Amino acid sequence: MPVPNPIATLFSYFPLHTFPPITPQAVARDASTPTLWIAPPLSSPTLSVSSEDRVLSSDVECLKWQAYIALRGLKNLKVRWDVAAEGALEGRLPNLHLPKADAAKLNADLNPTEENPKADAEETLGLYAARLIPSWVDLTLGFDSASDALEGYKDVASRDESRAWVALLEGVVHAALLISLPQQVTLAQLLGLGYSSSSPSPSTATSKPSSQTSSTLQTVLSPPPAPLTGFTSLLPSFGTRVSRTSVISQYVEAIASLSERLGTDQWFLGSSQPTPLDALAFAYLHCILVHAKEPVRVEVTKRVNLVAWEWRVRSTVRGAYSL
Amino acid sequence: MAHNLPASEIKLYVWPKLWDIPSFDPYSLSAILYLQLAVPGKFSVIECTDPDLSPSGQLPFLVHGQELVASFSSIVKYVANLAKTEGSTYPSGDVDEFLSTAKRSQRNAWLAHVEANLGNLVASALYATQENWEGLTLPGLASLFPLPQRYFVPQKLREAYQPRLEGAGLWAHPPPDEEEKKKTPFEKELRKKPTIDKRKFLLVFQREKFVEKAKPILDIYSRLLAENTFLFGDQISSLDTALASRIILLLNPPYPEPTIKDLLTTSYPNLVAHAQHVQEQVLGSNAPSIKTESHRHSVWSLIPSGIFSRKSPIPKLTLEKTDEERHVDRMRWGFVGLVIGSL
Repeated sequence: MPVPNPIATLFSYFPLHTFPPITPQAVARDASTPTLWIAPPLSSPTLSVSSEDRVLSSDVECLKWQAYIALRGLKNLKVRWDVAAEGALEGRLPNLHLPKADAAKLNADLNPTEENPKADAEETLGLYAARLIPSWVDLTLGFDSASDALEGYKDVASRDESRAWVALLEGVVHAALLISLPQQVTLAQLLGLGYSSSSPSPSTATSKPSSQTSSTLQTVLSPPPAPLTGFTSLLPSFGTRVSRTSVISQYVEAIASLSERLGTDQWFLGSSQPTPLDALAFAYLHCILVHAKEPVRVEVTKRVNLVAWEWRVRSTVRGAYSL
Repeated sequence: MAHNLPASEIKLYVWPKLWDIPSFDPYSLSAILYLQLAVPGKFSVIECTDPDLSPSGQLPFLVHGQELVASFSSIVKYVANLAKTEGSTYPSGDVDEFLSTAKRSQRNAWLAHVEANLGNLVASALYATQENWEGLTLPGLASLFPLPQRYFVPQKLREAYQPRLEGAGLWAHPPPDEEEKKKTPFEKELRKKPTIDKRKFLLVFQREKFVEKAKPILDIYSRLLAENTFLFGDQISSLDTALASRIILLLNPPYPEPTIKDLLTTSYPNLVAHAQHVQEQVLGSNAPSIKTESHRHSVWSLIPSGIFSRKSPIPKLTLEKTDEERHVDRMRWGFVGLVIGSL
């Protein structure tokens, strides 16, 4: 039934304007050089960080990948840190952003069975998660890591031992770093209720399984720390109860062992070339030396060989990146 | 000032016994094995279900006189130091004495690896797998705790491990329950077609995933052990106790879902033999027996320890007061009485 006339005249006082759709601006999505998206380096002006170090991230995970790429010999990469972790692939930094040609080559390498490349190759963003970085490095260098069963180490025993050192670094050393980083001041902190990390706390049992886990103390310490409210108390689990003295004493022993194992070698475990363990060790040592607070930092400064090694590797890693 | 110091015996507070194993917690078990090697007969084990007594909030912890030491590696270090300071009482305190400095640093790294990776496997077998949790661990744990706590503490213990195991990919999420909901009450129930059991597939897939994760880790230990009796040659070390305690916990309990147990017995006989060897040497018939007591349950454990100060496990020193102190005390009470009387 058509609209009655009086109502039609009433509606004519409120005309409907339709505006043309707004198309997004043509943002330059193509990177001209391979770019690594990282967590921002420490930007505090009061710290005496030289301008060359400002390309090195303050997050251990990002720095580890930066070191890996640089130690394998690649150069002329750019970095950017204006993207938050939530905006990155898989919710974690670092990500690798490649120019179109490199992205096409990497896609062809990763999916060799695809015969017809996607028609909208123009639209794909050449962004890759961190776990694909080794594949890209292999492709650029023309080297096949999978063929090397020893993964760059001297022998099988060294390769197994490298796993042990990785466990040590990612366990006690990471825990000590977490408790000694300058914390964001929150109310929970002021009440002394526990340490917070910069990333959100891990999901509870009821939410869906998440592949990304923020490295809080609960995932790093073994045995997992007790809740602040205690296991046997009636209150529900909240916070983490961490004994600083216990963590620091284990950390002291860990750094002593690390220094002992490095000795005067050029690379860890006596390898002739840098290995992923070296990248990881560099990431931790750099973060401790530059960002950590006193009792944790001083342990590393006491070991001259670690400081000298970190300094030497730092210059290599720094040289590979530009802003 | 005369001091009446109580005779200091080493007391180790651990999680209690379950399934014929001295403790169901790998850290407590390795601490018991280590102390039995280092200071046999000179320590007593106290079975305790209240981890909040410990300074770090976790068992095991050691009390020796006025010293409180928590965590396995700190206990090892403390007992090794005892051998240096009180060598006559504790001659064999440092079990790792035969290791060179280089080997000691490797031992620290391997200990971290064992606690992290093999510990994750043990935790996943005990807590993560739904069948094992409901069939074995939960009833076992509930039998240990007193009445109100047995309903919530085991779940809290399990939740403490969850972030770690999820990160390692060893947490078994229960398959979603399939509910057949009728859209309207008037819809007739369709005759059930023989559908493929999705739950079974998910369980099998999870089991395969666990085995895939466990194999590289167990391969590493198998290679490290090679043909030797112990990890560092012919002499037992603290690392052997740590490794053996976790292998024992993967083998001995009667798991309803024995995936990792079967994997160990079929593919890694040298690890099984090593664990049995350590157990024989440390807890066997020749070894001195361990004094065990159990810690009294206290209702105060229901209140979080930070709010009210609870009884600490360290016994307070009783000092006899000298004449001067007694005189000062009498004067003090006299002054207080004078103040109150004058009001």
